[in-house]
Amino acid sequence: MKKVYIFFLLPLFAFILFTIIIPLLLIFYNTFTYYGIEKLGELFSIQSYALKSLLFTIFVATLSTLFSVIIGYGIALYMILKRKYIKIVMQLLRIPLFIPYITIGYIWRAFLNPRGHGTMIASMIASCFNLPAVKSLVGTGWAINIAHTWLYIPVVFSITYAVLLKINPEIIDAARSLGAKGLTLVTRIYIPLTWRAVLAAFVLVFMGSLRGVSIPLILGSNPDYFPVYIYRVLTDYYDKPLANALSFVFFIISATLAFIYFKLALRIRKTGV
Amino acid sequence: MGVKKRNIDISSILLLAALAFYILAPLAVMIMHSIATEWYVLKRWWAPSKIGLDWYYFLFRDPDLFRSLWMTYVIAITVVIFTIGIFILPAYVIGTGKVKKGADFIETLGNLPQAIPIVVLGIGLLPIYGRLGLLYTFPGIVIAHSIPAAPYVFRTLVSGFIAIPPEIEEAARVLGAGKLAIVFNIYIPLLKPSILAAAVLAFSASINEYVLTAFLGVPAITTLAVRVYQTAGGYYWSPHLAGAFSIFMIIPSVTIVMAIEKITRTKVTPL
Repeated sequence: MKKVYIFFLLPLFAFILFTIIIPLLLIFYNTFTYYGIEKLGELFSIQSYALKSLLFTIFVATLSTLFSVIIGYGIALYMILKRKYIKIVMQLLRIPLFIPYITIGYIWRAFLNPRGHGTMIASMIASCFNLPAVKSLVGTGWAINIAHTWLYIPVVFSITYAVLLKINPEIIDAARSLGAKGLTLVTRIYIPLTWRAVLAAFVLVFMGSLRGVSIPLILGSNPDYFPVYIYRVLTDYYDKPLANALSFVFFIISATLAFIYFKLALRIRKTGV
Repeated sequence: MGVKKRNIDISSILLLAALAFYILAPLAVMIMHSIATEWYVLKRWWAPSKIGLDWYYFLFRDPDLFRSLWMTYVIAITVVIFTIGIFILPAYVIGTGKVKKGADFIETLGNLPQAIPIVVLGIGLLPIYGRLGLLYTFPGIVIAHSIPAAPYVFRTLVSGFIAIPPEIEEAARVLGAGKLAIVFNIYIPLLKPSILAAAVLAFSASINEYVLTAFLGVPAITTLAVRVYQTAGGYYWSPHLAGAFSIFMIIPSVTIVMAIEKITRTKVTPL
């Protein structure tokens, strides 16, 4: 490598060192200095709030991811099969990508409030079937689910639709000429050829949903969403050692997921599907 | 002459309507809140009884809120300049294949900020900022906001350099063009769409950033994202002001994206 290129790369190295590597090393150092492995274990003992919060977060993030993947991939498959209204759907699905997370939390809080449009419309539909009025979802994991799904459907759609478009049309034509139709095409051709992209979308959405702070912070939940719990430990209780220890655990979980995602993404980039 | 038969697909239209409702309804509610000057939700939950631009005027009249407004944009513009300045040379090295060995590693480094939860980074940065005197300062917030923006900027610029055929640079060299002439006559014009896309993505990422501002900037630096939290998070609930703040967060990014897409004919997506 020419020396001048190392010089060109220096700003990147300096930025990553200052903003990522040193902060992470500090978190590791502080965690082991103030907590140590034993205390860290106690922190996540059964009945502890940290464990409750972590399990709740994993549960909500898993549900949000499943909803996003099912709906997002469903729309992508539907668009590939029907080839109708693609432009409108694509424009619609770009909108959430440009809305700040904190605003997403706010719009869903406004929509799902006790007198919000979402709650009132759901209550009106329920009354048509003689069912009791719907309670507001704000403060529950469901509100976070709905908001995260709103945000991540476009992500799943973009990733999977791009891969679906890359499938050789001759394979589809051959299958069609042999009599294959909608569901058979989906189960025999589209899903087997795109499962890796779906998995990559799943991991990416799970990662985003697990780490999100702003949306669950605005919508609230009991117990706290795990990143929100870390945020509150620092801003409300000023307990820096605890915030460090929780961050350490959270980093390990996120880094593992990120590693899986990058491996999958690299594979898709190299093989196309 | 036969009658033209219109093929109306009811299931597609219903699905499209459901999707449009899901995506647009909460945004419509936000707009209504931001223009509602009188809204008795217990009597009339579906729409305000009086509308106007009072909340927007309020944002301009209140000096603290107005400071948040321009501060948000100034920070975002500085983040754009800072991130592009930092990543243009590394992107050139990777995108043009000047470095083969270790290119994957360098690319991973550029994407690293996306792999680490922002709340974790905020906690890690706090003692460093405290020691360096960057807490509650403008440069400190610019560096902090550059973290979420970095992967988008780096990836977009690398893609831009990849798209430039290496033969063009060689041909220019053969014809006697100097280094500066190559930069100004070849790279900058051909890279313009990517630079603009990277700029809008960095701008959006900065406007979007709440956690790092809350950890490292508040109370001295209060951006619009912090104002949305103050008016829509916790026990204090003022949906009208939060709506007006949100509009000022969304409009610039969307307008710039639309303008760039029109000029460059390329799609800008933060993915």
